[in-house]
Amino acid sequence: MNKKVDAYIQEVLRNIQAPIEKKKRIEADIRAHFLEAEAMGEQAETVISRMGTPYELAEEMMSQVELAYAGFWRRLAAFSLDALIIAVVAGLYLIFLIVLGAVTIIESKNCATDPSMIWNTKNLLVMIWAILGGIAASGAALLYFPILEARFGKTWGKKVMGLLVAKENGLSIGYKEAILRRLSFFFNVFWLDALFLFFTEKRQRAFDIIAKTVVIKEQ
Amino acid sequence: MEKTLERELKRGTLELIILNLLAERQMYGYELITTLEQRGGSLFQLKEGTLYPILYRQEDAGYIEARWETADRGMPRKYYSLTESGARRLAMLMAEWDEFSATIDRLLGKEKDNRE
Repeated sequence: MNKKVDAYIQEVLRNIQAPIEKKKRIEADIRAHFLEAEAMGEQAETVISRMGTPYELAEEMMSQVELAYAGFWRRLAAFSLDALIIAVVAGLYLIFLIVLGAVTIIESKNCATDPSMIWNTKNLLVMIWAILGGIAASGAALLYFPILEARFGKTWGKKVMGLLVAKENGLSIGYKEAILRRLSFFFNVFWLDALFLFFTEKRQRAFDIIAKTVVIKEQ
Repeated sequence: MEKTLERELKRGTLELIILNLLAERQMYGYELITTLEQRGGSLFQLKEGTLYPILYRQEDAGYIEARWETADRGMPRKYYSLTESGARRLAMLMAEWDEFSATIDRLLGKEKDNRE
């Protein structure tokens, strides 16, 4: 199998978020198909041009695949894990700040002769670093979900619970969907948003519906 | 550019056609595509993205099953074959088709044989 075919297949699979077995079936069929075409004397390029773009093929291949939607408790468990991770990292940063504060206070006591000496270059730099670090940490907490979900289709919590975020047609999401579905954070509507889960056919939160995303089980 | 009626009819009959082919013998994906084109002409030049989803739906419903087989030459092939359940489904769809196409012909005044 030449590199072009392999790259094509990888790109098709990259677009697919499906239960593992279903994804394997698709990959096996596409690979076998190229081998069979080659054995029959058809050029790989011809096959690729007939199949269409990786996105098109991925979309068609997923069109009849049934997705198993994840329920409330599983998603809550995944979310709790993610919240815990963020809390631990934030906690570590808080400890770092406290230690920094303590060291500064101790240092200021040592500068008994001239307390204003505390404001030397080193301490100023450390302080700026601490503030920037705080901004970065907050940013990271906010970006944790959108970035991980856009790039990998899952966060650590979701990975542990065997969940994937996908578009309604089973294809991978991009940054647009990842950000849209997280806007619920900014409107402080966590429980109302989650309530939708119980009443929608595809087990979607309100903001899942807006972003046209679903959370499926990897099975 | 495909005509609308053709497209709709094709979509509706593809399951029947594929099950019927697999009733003859087990086939692998590429073989299904070439056989369809041989017998159906340009009307049935199927894309992989059209064929495989139908195979998946039928496989998930239990009408066909897949099996890897290695031919003498050593290349493993994924063969699709009809199951018992699939044979029953085929018979049902075939009967539906016979009745439906005969009714349409009758409605359009194109009766081939004289009933009654």
